Amino acid sequence: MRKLFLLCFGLFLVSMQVMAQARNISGRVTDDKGNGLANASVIVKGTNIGTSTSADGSFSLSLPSNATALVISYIGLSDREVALTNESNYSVALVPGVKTGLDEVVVVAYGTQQRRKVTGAVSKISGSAVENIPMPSVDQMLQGKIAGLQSVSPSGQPGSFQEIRIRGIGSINATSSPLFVIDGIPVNTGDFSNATNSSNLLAGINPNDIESISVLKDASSASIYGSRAANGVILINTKKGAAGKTKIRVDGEFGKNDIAYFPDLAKPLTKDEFKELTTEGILHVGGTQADVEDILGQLGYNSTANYNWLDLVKRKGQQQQVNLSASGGDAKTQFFVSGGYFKQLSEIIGSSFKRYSFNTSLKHQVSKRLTIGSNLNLSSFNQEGESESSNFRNPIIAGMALLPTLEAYNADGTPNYDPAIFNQIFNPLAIRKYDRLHNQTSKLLGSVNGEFKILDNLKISSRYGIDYSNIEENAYYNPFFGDYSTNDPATTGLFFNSYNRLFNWVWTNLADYSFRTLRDKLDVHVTGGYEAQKSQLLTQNGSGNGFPLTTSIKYPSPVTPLTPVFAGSDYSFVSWLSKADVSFLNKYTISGSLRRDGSSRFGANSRYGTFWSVGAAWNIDQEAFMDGVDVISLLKLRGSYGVNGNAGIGNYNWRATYSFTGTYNSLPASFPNNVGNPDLTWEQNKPLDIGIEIGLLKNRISIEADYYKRKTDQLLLNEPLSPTSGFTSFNNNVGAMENKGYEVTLNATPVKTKDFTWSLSLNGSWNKNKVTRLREGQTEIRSLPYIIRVGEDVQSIFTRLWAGADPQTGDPLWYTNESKNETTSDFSKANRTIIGSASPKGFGGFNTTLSYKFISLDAQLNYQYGNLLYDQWGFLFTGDGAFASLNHNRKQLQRWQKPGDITDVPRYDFFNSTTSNAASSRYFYKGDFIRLRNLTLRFDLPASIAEKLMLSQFSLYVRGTNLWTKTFDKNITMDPEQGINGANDLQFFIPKSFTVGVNIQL
Amino acid sequence: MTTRSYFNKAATLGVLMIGLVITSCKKDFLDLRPYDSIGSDVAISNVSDMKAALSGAYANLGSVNLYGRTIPLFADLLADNVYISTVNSNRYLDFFQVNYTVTNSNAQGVWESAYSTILRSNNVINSPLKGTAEIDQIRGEALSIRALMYFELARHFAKPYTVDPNAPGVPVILEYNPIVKPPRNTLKEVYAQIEKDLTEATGLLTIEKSSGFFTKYAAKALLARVYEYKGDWPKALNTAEDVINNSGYSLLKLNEVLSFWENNKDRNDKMEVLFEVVFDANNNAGNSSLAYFYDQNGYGDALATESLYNTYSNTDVRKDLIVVGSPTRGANAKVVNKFPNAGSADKDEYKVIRMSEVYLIAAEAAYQTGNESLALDYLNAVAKERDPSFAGYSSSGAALLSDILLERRKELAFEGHRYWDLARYNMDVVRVNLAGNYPGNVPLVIAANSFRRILPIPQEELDANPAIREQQNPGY
Repeated sequence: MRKLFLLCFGLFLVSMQVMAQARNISGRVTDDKGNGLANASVIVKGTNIGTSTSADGSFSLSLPSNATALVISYIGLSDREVALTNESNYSVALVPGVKTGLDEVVVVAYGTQQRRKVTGAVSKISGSAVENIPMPSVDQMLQGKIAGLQSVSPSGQPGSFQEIRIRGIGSINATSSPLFVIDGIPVNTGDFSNATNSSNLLAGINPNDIESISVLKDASSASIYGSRAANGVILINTKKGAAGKTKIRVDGEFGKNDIAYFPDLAKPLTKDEFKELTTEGILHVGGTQADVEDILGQLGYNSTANYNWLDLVKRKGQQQQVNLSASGGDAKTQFFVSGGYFKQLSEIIGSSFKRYSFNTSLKHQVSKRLTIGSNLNLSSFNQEGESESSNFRNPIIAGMALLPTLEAYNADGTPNYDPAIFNQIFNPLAIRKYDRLHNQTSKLLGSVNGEFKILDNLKISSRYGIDYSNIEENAYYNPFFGDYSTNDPATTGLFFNSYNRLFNWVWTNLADYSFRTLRDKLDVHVTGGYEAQKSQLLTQNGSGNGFPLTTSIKYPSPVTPLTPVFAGSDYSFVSWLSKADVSFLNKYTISGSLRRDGSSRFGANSRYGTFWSVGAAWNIDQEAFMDGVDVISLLKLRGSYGVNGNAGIGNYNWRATYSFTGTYNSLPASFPNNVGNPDLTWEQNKPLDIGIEIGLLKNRISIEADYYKRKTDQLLLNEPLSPTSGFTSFNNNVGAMENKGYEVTLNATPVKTKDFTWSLSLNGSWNKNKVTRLREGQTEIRSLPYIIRVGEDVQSIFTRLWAGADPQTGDPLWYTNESKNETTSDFSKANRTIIGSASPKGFGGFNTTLSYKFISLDAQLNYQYGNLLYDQWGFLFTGDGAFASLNHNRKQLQRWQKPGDITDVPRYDFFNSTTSNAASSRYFYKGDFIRLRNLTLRFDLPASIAEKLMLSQFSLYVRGTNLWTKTFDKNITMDPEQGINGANDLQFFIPKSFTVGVNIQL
Repeated sequence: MTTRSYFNKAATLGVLMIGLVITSCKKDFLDLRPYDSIGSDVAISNVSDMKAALSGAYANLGSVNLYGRTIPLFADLLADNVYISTVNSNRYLDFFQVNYTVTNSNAQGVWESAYSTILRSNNVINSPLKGTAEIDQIRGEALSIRALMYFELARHFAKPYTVDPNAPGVPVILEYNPIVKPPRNTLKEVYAQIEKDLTEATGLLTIEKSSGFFTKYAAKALLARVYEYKGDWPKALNTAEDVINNSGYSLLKLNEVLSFWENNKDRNDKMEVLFEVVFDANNNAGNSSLAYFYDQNGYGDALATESLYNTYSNTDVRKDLIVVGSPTRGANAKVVNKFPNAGSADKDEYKVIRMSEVYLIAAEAAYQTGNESLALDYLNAVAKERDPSFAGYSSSGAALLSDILLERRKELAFEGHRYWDLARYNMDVVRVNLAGNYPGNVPLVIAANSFRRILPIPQEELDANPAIREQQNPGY
């Protein structure tokens, strides 16, 4: 220890000495309009010596005697090289440009770093890529933009929860979602609503306020987040001000929404088609023509009503957003303020999202050494929606299942809710009119921070941040009809009001030290710190029934108040963290990180864990032997390995507890509710990453490729107990799995002339998951049709092999063997096997931009392939008559009708009892798709004209989102974009948007 | 400033910061406890805790797997009192069709919930607290609950005691051990434990709270039933008579029958009910309740059989507990109306043991000990209070026994007794198919030697417990 200290001290003295020999220069870095650029990087070419500019863009630097030029770089602008003369003052203006170089600065964990020195797999998205997209939350916008990151929507409800997986699924029972860190604060994400169908806390962040996003995928970049890094980390930095002229910016867009993709086969039958099927079905089961007439009468065929219920639950969706911002400041104080409004009315009745957001960022330099700042994001969103999935209030179920013969309206034009007609699935128009389901989520994300420079190269900083969310929900179910109406005035109707409060604070203290030594050849950067965090969830909700028979009272006083609920939970972390990187001659970088995490979630016997990483990078292009290899402008190899964890294991799972949530005969009751396990701990993840970064032809082409393998063990599983103990299972860290795969990103600018630029980028990811161990003696866990089996993908699908309809009889057939050469009509003899996985083999995106003078066209295509989608509701809508009183989809029209028909849809039987509709490969479809996620045509007012109008920028654009979708399974009955498990559960449709927008900057 | 002074400043600041950090980070910062529960180690530290834990054991008796629905339904459905309508919600068809297997979820439910109630009782019984009448009372109630659960486990999962007392019973677990992997005890050992617990309980129970809690005579009444199931007739008679003569509880009178079954509250009037599981507005099985399974506005799947309905004379007040006609199941459907509160917030209690049963136990025990006139006295005491025009039974010999069993069938219908009466006497179950109650795929006879006369040890127990794996009930 003492030796180490002496060594450090020695190095320090050496570095001091080295600095003393230098000559001093100064200067200022600006953009092309003369505004000073803060935090631009100024590096002496061929060395690691450099500095970053202060708030007004000025810098001063000590030069080594052999310095020849400066390389100046800034996020979003082109690098510039400036030859050094005898001058001691340099003014450098940077122009906008596509950055692909390794000299850009990227946001990494607890700081920023020059890309060249990054040893890990970090993907970056600039804020401009998530601006003015017609989607409520930023996580939706990541899809197709980052290699290795899968982002899917389980629902098209605006503001709904998005599922993100980075480098595969890393857990079975704990979370598989990444950690989000916004402005240095690890935030709570996910769905914390109680009544809303699906709600996303991240939808409280206005994507237009985002400056940059970094996705940390491997050990080297993420392990410093310790026990929460296993599923990757997404760093989001919000916009900050810069010194210079005050910039005012206005963005506005409006447009409409429609359904992105809904195949014809999935649409409901018309009145005549359903009549034809029903008639056929009754005759098949031995009915007579008289029976046919009788049953058709019962199904409403004597009425004149003829509705397409799916059309009735659809409407014209709307899209609108307006964002205003101002930023600027002087050398000492910089600010950014913004306000935003976002509104999305989905194409399904009663489903909408509205958000108001405000953002303020202030930074002030108190003295040469002390800087203080504050960020504040405030937002409030209102989400309206109906239940999804199997709920009989779901407008999608109603749209699919209600018969065209049911009368939708009363004579006076109001929706008909006659319980004799709508007794199981309610009239969605009446639900819309008489019921309410609202979510009002208010969010505050803010921090105060201070930074003190003890020395030019030694600073300490402290940040206290809070992440606060209020989720207020109101569900109202009318007293006239529906799930909660009764004949008893004392109990009819129901309201449910819920209030959830999430309060999360984080205090981060860091010390940052860097120095150069060995004649400036060695560049060392060390960060150490301490972080404490505590998050608390409080819930209050109450419900009541027995309402006055009117729907115009928002909070009716219930005749019967029902049980109120008061609940809560919390978690805490304390962490010591450190990281260091050492660069030699700008060619070789070695980095390491070490974090010790303690958490309330970990059992008493394993409260603290240590997580680490090591990484190395080699900038081959800097080697002497590469001189003269002009075609290669950049070549970097990097690798990393380490250990991190997944702490998403439940707040109190390790504790042996007695719950007090019960009562008996109006007395409080307690009972043992958790066995507990004092050894319970984080799931452990060991990622290995090897990457190569190549730049060709002065970086006109750049390629980044990674191979990774991450082994996860200590997976949380339920270990069964003998039920005679009074418990049936407990949580234990026993399973293991691995993910391995490749990622490739290619950026190219094939054409770049004065007026015309064509650039494109392409990314692809291929992941292979394998479960390697379950608990002792266990080889599989079934939750059919899914199976978790040792040696197989964690989302494998295990089901019977469907063989279609018997050409002679129309009976259902299944294969009895995997080689699919023998069939049976006996369901119990059908072979069950793994037919594939819900996880894609590959996915990615393709982006291209063409710009000619003041017109540009931007297109993004996303793709995915190799996964299976599950039509969970096929048993009903393509159930061959099993639910004969409900409408079917058009796929059912392909049914067998007469001997000799070759089809995979069996005979239609009225109240089919052949089990043809039991889960089998019949209801699985190839999930391959290509989707035109974005198509934007943009006109920029030429700068000369804009200037005359006193504008620095004026643009108009038209944008289409999800305009075009190509699927590769001709039988598919759903949008191919489903949740991670690929199961269609009658969610709201993903929208297709068409918007027109304007962007003005003063 | 010199380098050194900067360092000093840094050091000072650093120390200051660490100081702040340490003060903010007390040791309990990571020691966060759930908001609605407390550590098992301290959960039962005083009398109030003990009471709450006892309530937890009572509350579990109301589980859908136990008296909430499965247990009372099982014995009427498997026997000949109740059938499942063709219009049904797909529940309990396995019991109706007698085709359950080792993975049967209802059998698993009974097993799991009974043992979880036993755990709750064990923790109360084993609490170190001792010494006051109140604590004795709590412990006595917990002992009674434990005995009741072992009794249920034994009759569902083991052969009748009267058939083979040395047959495998169920594992007897008397203290909490999460990793226990026990083999089966013999039936004799299980019954010995039940008798021991109930005997000890009767010594500890001194307080009468309401019919919703075990009392001294409720425990004795249960003990009488245990002797009846053992075929230990002298003790059965003795104990039942002790309850009849000394408990102070009255037998349900003719004019009280209908209001008695309409009532949805526990009682304090010592009328009829010795112990019942309370389902109030806060704690009930809701749509999973037995009542909802009979209620034609609920699931309404289960209906009374025609053969049972025909046993009641037109003047029998109990005939009014069955209503003819259902909106969805036809004008001739016999709708069970013994539990009419499915639609109210406060639901029907489940009567675990009541005086009428004690009288019938006494009648049966008197008959079996050769005292037929005493048997007729007890039998007619019940029968004549149900039917004003009934002159009373006067049979003897085998006919008297069959009259006693008939009266038990009529009096205790829908309360979960019928099947066990047939089991105790090792008789075939014979379902009489009147009015098409039984479709073709439902067996009409379940022979006394059918392996399905008892339930399988659940698969999950076999999987988790190697010691029991080779001890499955034969046939499964």
